[in-house]
Amino acid sequence: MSKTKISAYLKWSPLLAFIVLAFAPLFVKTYYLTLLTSVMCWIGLAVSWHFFSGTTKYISLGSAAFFGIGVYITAIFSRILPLPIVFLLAAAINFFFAFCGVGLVTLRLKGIYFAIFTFGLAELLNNAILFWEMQVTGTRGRFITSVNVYYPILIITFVIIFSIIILRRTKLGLALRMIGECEDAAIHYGVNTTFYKILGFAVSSMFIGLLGAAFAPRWGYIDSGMAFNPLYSFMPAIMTLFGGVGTVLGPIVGAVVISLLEEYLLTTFKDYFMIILGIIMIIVILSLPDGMTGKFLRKAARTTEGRG
Amino acid sequence: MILHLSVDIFIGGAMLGALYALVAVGLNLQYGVTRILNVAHGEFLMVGAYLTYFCFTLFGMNPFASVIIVGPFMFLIGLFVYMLLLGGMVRSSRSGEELEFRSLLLCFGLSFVIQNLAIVLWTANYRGYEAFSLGMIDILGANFEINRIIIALISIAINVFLYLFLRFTKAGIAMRAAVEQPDGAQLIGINIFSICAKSFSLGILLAGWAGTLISVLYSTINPFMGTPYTLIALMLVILAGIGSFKGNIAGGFAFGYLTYITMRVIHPALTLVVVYAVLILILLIKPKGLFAR
Repeated sequence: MSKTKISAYLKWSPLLAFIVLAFAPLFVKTYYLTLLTSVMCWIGLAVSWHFFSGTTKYISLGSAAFFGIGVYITAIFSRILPLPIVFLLAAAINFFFAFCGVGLVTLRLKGIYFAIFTFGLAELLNNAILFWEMQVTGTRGRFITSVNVYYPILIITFVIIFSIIILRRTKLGLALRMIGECEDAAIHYGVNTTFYKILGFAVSSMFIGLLGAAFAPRWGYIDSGMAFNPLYSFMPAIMTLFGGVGTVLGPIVGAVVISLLEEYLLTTFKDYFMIILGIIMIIVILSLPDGMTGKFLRKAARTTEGRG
Repeated sequence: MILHLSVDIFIGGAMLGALYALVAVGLNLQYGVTRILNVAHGEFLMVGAYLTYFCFTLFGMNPFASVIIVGPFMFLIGLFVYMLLLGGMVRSSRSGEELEFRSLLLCFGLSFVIQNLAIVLWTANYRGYEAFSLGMIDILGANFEINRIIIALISIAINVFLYLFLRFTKAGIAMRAAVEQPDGAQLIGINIFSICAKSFSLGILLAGWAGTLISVLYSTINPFMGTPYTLIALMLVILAGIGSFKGNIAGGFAFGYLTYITMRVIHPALTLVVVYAVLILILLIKPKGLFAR
């Protein structure tokens, strides 16, 4: 009895979180606001990454490519167009780039080949843009009119989380889960796996690009090295692994913990930050194969099973 | 002029290719046998380069002679890493895919640790050392450093020794068996765990030797020098096909020529772009690498 009540309340907790976060700028110091912005951006990235790669086990290390495209679209168009239209444009371009340019031709690749291909893609874009800027236009990087991105990131992250919660229940989400469990079975069952893989990849990339576009105005100045930083490829994967694969909650928990940890380490042990982060990563991968939420969820499942 | 350029490209590309083949062969062996994609490969290479540097500056040891020290040392590091970190993961992973994914991320964390440990221990500055320079040689009008030619020859020699090792020794044959049929290898009494540990360590050793040669080649080292080589090695493994020794050599030379021609004929800044573009093209045509069985 009481259990159903609790879960009924839990259903409203995302909305509560949204309201609290929406009013946070009135009470919170600027430093914490900046921190919140990046934490939310990481949450969005991890959740989007998990939607395709976590579910299907096609590990993409190319998030940085789509994030960077988003950043560059904002850098190019933010002076001509209003920001919301720029964001929509970024989402559309990323979707089509991922769908036609990448998805159609590459999802024949499996396992490690797919991972390295996507990683190469981000590096290719990074180097191609660097070359273009140095040799053709003779510049390095671009200036963006600096804007407070708290609200755009807040709204986009929540939109992403809710869309993904809904999408996971649609045909697309179910197909992706089936591909992750057993792709051959999915094919035999009559699922058009290639189509759903491409669609899932495109949706996930669209969200990542959207976040890149929304995050860009925070910097004021960007170059290809910042926009296509490989950290944007690896961190979502690590956060998801840390939090646990299989639920929407896992990547969120992972993103919050890892990004706060990163901030703490960066401010207190500046020189040793990367070493400690690396060691923590290793320990997590070794000791928590299912992530933090994995252990918790399994325990919860076991207790309910025992009762039932 | 055309003759100069073609000789230059022919020999220069081959020298680069020999080095690339050496850089990638360790990773290829590791991944082929253990299914662990060691993305910290370049960091081990960097450690090898630093070891060579210290052998030279502290003990005045000839960099080429220091392979005797670098080799065993790197092998022990590899063994240590495998026993401490990866062995348990191999046992606890439920499927090959899971192992690949987890070990990839673990090695990524490892590369953080090694690189930043190197920054803390040895500072982020470039260190240069003039081990020796034998001057230039003129081949049909094209100039080459003799150093480079020696390095290319040593790379080829190491590859040949490795080939003989894999072909004719018991451990080498066991490694090849583990690449082709891991289950079958176990059935005929090969201790897979020990073979995996040895192959992993051998891969680290080869990375260290590649680091030795690279430090002599460019005569500067720094903690970030390894990362580009990780990428080259990864791409070569993909290009060559996993566990394919001949593919690795052929791929190395193909890569060497490709980068060298881009550098000399098109534009030096475009090297990486062309390399990635070609890699992506190859993956599109042959999703499992050029020399995959």
